[in-house]
Amino acid sequence: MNTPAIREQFPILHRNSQSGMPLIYLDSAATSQKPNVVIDAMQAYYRHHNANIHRGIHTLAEEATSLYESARETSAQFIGASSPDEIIFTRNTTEALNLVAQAWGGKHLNAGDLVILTEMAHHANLVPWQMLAERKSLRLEFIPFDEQGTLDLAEYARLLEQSPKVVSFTHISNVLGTHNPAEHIIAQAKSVGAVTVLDAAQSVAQLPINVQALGVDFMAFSAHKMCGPTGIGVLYGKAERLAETPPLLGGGGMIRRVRLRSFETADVPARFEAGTPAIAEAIGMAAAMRFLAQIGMEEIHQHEQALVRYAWEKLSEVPSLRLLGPAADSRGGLATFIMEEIHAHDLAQELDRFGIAVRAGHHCTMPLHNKLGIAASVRASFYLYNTFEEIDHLVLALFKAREWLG
Amino acid sequence: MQDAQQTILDHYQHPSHKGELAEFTHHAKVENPLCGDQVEVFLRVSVDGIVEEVGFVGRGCVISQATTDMLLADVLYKPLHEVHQRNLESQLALLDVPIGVTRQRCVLLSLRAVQSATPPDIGE
Repeated sequence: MNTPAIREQFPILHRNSQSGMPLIYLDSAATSQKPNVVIDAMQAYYRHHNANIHRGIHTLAEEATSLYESARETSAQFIGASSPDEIIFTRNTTEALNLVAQAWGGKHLNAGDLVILTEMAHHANLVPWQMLAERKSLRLEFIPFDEQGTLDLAEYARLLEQSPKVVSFTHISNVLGTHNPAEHIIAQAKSVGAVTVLDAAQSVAQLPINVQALGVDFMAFSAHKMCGPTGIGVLYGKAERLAETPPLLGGGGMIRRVRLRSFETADVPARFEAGTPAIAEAIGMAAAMRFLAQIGMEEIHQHEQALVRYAWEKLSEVPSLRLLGPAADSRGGLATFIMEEIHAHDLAQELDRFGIAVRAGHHCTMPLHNKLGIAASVRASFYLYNTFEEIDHLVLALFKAREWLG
Repeated sequence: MQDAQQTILDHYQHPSHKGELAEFTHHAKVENPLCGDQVEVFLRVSVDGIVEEVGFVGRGCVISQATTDMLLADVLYKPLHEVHQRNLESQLALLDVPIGVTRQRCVLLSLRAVQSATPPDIGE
């Protein structure tokens, strides 16, 4: 992969941080940076094609509608969906998961039904189920993770004996980096008739994914972690699942016919997209997908694997630094760590003085951090534009921070 | 700025007021669950409302802990009601370094502790 050429396409990577040091951006698991093609596609929409979509009968409305709907086709191709009608545009992963829990779960789950989650769930794949569980008296059980940060599949098998209705889990943990065996988890869940939900927020950005090969019922992800804009995400749903899902929001765009006291819903996917959607963002997301596909998701995956292996090796040499999660050969492109005696926020602030952007905190996984007995951790996450030299800078800065704060 | 940073670090590494008080009149424990910072403050206030002795225990980031030590040093031997006139601005003035918005909650933790430990009308 030609990293220098890729970096050329990301204007923000050429600025300095507040300290005057060149920016080293290691926070792509929170949000990735955006290439020119994405920024340009959104600008071009506003400069030349802006109009509200559907139902407009003028040149701009037709162009805008066609751009928006072609973004749905691009999204379907990108994840291997069998039809664009299986792509619902949402604001982000969180909204997509809430849509599954509240709309599908709200209709099909009943008191006493079991939902299986994981102990490493992001709050976005935990709280919506807690909310539904409270409303409908569901049971929640959790697949634990072991000391290496790997899901306990034997315990999962035991939980499956209780006939769960839903298994909802993360593909790549945003903290531990664990790359969970999605094929296995989904196949096992299907064998007991459970509906499967995949939080692919981290994985879609860094792995080739084919939803038909996975056989998953629902999959959620955001554009902004994969070089696209904020404000747009996707809920993939198998056609048969979406057909049995009622709308969550009512309003314009999701109806076929409205009378004063009743309405008929539109077909999928319009049924789930009430109100004017994020049109420019959908167009930007499609541009991001084309950008990634052109480089090749397998290429990107290999690059991330090489970076994380290198980072793992180098970070292991920093005294009093503890890495979280499984070893480098079974993880996504991020490294999370803590340093004895130094609070994660202090460490992140010190790194910022060296121009290095990392994330510090609980990363929306408070139960995971509670289990590890820590309040916060530091996460360095890598993407297609990161280099080995940047990891060297990170390690050097950690040595210096340790002298200053330790 | 380097000096101010060193001062903050000194307060963090060698706090003057760390430790519980054997005898105190006011006490409160506050925490910021989002980052896990905790501060527990102890004050001994005279009948006429003067802060006569201060102490704290806690754990957390440099900013939260150093600010606590600095705040307690600053309120010592002063009328307690002054504590309730303090705000984010006065806390930032203690530190004298630029603080980003995301860390203001760390700066405010100690003030929340002292203010919740004491009724606003005492010593007026």
